[in-house]
Amino acid sequence: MPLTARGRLILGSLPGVVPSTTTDGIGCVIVRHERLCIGCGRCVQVCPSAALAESSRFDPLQLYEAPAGTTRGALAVALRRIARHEPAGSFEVPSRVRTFRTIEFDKARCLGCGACTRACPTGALTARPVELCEAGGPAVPADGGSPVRR
Amino acid sequence: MTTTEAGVAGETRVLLCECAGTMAANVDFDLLEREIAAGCGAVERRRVWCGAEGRARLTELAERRSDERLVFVGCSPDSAGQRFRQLISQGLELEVADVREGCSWVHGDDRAAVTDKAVRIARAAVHFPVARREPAAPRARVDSVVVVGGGVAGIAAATELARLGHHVDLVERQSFLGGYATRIGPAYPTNDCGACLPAVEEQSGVRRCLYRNAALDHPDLAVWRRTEVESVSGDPGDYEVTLRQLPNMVTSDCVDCGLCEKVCPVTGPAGDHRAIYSELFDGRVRWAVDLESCTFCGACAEACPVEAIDFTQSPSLTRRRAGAIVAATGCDPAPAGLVAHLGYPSERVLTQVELALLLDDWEERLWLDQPPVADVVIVQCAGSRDLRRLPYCSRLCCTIALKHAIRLRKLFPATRVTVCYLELRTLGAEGESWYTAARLAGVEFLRGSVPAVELDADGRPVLEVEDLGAGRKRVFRPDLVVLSTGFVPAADTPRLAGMLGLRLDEAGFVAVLDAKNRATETSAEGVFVCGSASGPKSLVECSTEAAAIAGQVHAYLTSTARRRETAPSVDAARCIGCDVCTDACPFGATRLVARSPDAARPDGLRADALLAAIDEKVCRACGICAAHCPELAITPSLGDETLLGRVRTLVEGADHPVVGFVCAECAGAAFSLSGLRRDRYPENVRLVELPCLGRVSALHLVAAARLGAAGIFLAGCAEGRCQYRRGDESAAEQLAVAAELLGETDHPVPIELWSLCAAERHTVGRRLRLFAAHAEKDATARTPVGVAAVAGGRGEAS
Repeated sequence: MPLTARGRLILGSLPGVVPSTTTDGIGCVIVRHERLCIGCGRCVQVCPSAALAESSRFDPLQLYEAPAGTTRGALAVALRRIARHEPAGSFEVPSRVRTFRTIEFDKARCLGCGACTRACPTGALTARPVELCEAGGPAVPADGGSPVRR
Repeated sequence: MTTTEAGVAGETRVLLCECAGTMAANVDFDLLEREIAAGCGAVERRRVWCGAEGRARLTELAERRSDERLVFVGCSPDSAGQRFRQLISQGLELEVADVREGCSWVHGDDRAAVTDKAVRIARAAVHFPVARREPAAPRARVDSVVVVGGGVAGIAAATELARLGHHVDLVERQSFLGGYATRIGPAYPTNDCGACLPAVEEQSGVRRCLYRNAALDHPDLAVWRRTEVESVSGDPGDYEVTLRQLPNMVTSDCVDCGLCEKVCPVTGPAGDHRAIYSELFDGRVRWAVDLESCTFCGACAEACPVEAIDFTQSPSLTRRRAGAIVAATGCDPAPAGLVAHLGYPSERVLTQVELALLLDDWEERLWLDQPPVADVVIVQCAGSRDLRRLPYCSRLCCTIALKHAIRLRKLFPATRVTVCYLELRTLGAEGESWYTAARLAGVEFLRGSVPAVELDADGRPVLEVEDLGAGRKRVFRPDLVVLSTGFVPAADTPRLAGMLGLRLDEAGFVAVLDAKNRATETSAEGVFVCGSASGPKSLVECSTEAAAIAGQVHAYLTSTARRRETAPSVDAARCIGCDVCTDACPFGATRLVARSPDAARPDGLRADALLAAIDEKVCRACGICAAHCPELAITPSLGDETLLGRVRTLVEGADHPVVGFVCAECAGAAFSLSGLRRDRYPENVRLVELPCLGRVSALHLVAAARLGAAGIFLAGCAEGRCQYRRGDESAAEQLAVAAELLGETDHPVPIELWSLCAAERHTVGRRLRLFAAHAEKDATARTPVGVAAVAGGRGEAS
C-alpha cells in the first residue's frame, strides 16, 4: 500500500469528508518512467522493502523499442548498428554487468516512502499524490476516528 | 499556602503561583487548585514563588532529588527561567505552564472563561509530560587545537591560543608561513608590512615581525610546514586529524649562508628560483627544496658547510587529537578565466597581486632615466560584481588599488595613473583618507566601467571606456593595465569542508553559523573559521577575528559538553530504513546503520534493510526528523502523544478555539513579551509551545482541526533565522500538506504561518485578535443556523 503509516493516520484524523485524491506529503504512489531509466540500480539499493529489483534477465527487444532521443533509444540505435542479427529474445545477464539492467517494480511491496525518487539520478522515478480509491482507503485509527466516506 | 502530603516518586507536584494577586481579577485560584489537584500527586499554592520563602522551598525540593516531577503553574517559561535561573543551573528541573502572560494578563474580565483556559493550560502540562532522559555525563574536551592555514589569521589565532595555555598544531601547506599578506609588500591600513604580530610580554615594543616574535617559539605551538590535512574523524570536542607532511629537506641546522642556491643546477617550475630556494624568512627555516623540480643530484648537500640538507627525509602521516579545529585557509585572487575578457594573462595586463610583487622589484632598482611604465590604467571590479563572473564585492580591491596607485605615483612621479571605477568602496574615515591621499598624489579617477581590454599588434593594451563624468567615450593605450580582481575561496576549501562537514555559502566560502552574532563559528560544532576563509577580509579584520577566536576556542575547550536536550528515540519495530530522516536532519545527526538480526522489524521489509540511528552527540532535538518520518518511528521528547494530548486538553469542547503552535525561540519571546505588555486577545486562542516549529507535522495540524480548531496558526522565528536551520522550512512544507488536505475536505480551516522576532512583540496582539475574528467568522459561516455542529467539530459518518 503506497500510503505510509503517517499518511494513514493523517487521513484518519481529517475532519469531515475525506477527499478522494490527496497530496504527496503523506505517502506517494511511485511512478516509473521507463524511457528515462538507465538501469543503474540505485533505486534497488535504497528501497527498504525490496519493491524494486534488478531483473536477472534482459530483453534486447524491449530496448529496440525505446523511443529515439532517450538514453535507451540512443543505445538501441547503436545496438542495431553493431548487431549481426535480430535478437532472439531475453537472455540471462551475467552478474558482473551493473548497468542497463531491467528494473522490476512490485507495486504490492511498495511502502510509498519515496527513497527511490531521491536516489534516482535521471528522474525516472517520481512520486505522485496518492489516489485513495487505488490505495483502498485509509485505515481507521485506534482512537476511533471517523470512518472514511467515499 | 496550601500543602498536601510529601513527595512521591513518579508523581507530579504542582507549584501554583498566584503572582501576588495580579491574576486574581480573572482567574479563580480556588477552582484552579481544585481542578489541578484532581490529577496529580500534590499541589503547593503560594502567593509568590519567586520570593525568599518560595525559593527556599524550591531549593528544598531540588535537593530532595526524588523522581518527582515538578510543574510550575504561573508565569511564562521565559519569566520563570529568569527568576529561578540560579536554581535551574544548580540542577532544578522545572516544567512551566504559563497562565500569566499566556492567559490571565492578556484576557478580559470573563472570569469563567479565563479560569477554564487556565485549568486547561495547567492540565495539559500536568497530564502530558515531556519525556526526559538523564543527559549523558559531560565529557571533557581534548585540550588541543589544530589551526589549518598559516597565513596571518592562522598565525595570530595559533599564537594567541598557545599563550592561553592550549597545545596548538599550526598546519601550513607551503614551506613558509605568512600567506599572501606577508608577500605583497606594504599593506592596508598602516602602509607597512603585513607580518606583524603583537609582541609577547618579555619582548619590548607593542609588535614584532613574525620571524622575530617569540610567540611563535611557544613550547606548546607546533608548526607543520608543507603539511595538509589528510582526513578528520571523531566527534566534536575530540577530533582526530591526520596530517600529511612533505619533508622540507633543509633542517634547522641551516645557518642561512645561501651556498646551496648558488650551486643548485636546477631551475624551479616557475623559472623564478632554483630548486633549493628561499622565499620568505619566517624566522625558523629559511631554505626549502622544491620537491617537484629537484633532481636530487646532491650538489647542495655537498656544498653545505653545516650538513643541514638531509635527503633521507620522507613524507609522513601523523595523527593529532584536537578538541577544536580552526579553519584559516584564506582566499585566493580570482582565477585567470574570470578576467580573460580583460586581456589577462598578458605581459602588459597584470593583477594587483602581481603588481604588488613587481612594485617591490621596481623599488629595489634605481630608475634614473626612465620609469618602467609611463602610463598605467587600473581597472576596478575586474570580473567582480558581474552576474556572469564573480557576483559579489570582495571589499578589499578598492583600497588595494588606491594603495598601489599612490605607491606608483610616489615612486615614479612622471607616470600617469588612471583608475577606472564605478563605485569606490573605501569604508570608514580611514578609507576616505586613502582616496583623498590618492587624489593629492595626482591619480586620475575616471567613472566608467571597462567592458573589454584588447591587445593591438604590438601587444599594447587598448581600452575603450565611457567616461560617465564627462559624458563621452575615451580610448586609452597604456603601458600597463592592472586589474583589481576579486577574491575566491582557497582552492582546497571544498575538500576541507567535506572532511569537517562545513557548509559553504553561495560563493564557496565557509558559511558562518550566524552572520550576526556567531560569525566565527561554523555549522560543525568545535570547528571555527578565521580570516578570509569566510569571505575576503582585511588585515585588521583578520587579526581582530583571530583574537576573538582564541577567546572562543578557549571557552569551548575549557567548558564541558553542555548539551541538555534529549535526542529522539527510534522504534526499530516501525523504522523501514528509508532516507527521509537523514534527508531532513539539518545537523546530519541521523544516519542509516545495519540492522542487527535480532532487532524488531516491520513486516514486508527486505532482509538487508537499514535502520535509522540518531547520534546523541550531534542531535539538537529540534524534532524535524519526527515530523517527516513516514512510519512514525521517531519519538522526540515532546512525542506525538504528548503533543496531541496537550492540543486535545486545550481545545476540546471549547467555543471556536484557535490553536497556535509557537516556537519557543524567537516567536516564544515575541509572545511572552506581548504578554508582559498585556496586549489583549480573545480567550479562545490556545497556544502550544514547541522547541522548534520543525516539530509540527501535518498530522498535528489535521488533528487540531479535527479536535475542533476554528483556525490554526504556526508562529516561528524570522524568515531564514531558524536556530535549527530548517525548522521554518519544514513547518511550511507540513503546513502546505495539511492545508491542501483540509482544503479538500468539507471542513476548511484557516491556517497560517507567521514569522516573528522579539521586535515584533507589538504586532502579536493585533495578529491574534484579527486571526481569531477571521476564524470565528469562517466557522460560523460553515455551520448554518439550525444544523448544530457536532461536538468537537467532527464531520459525522454517513
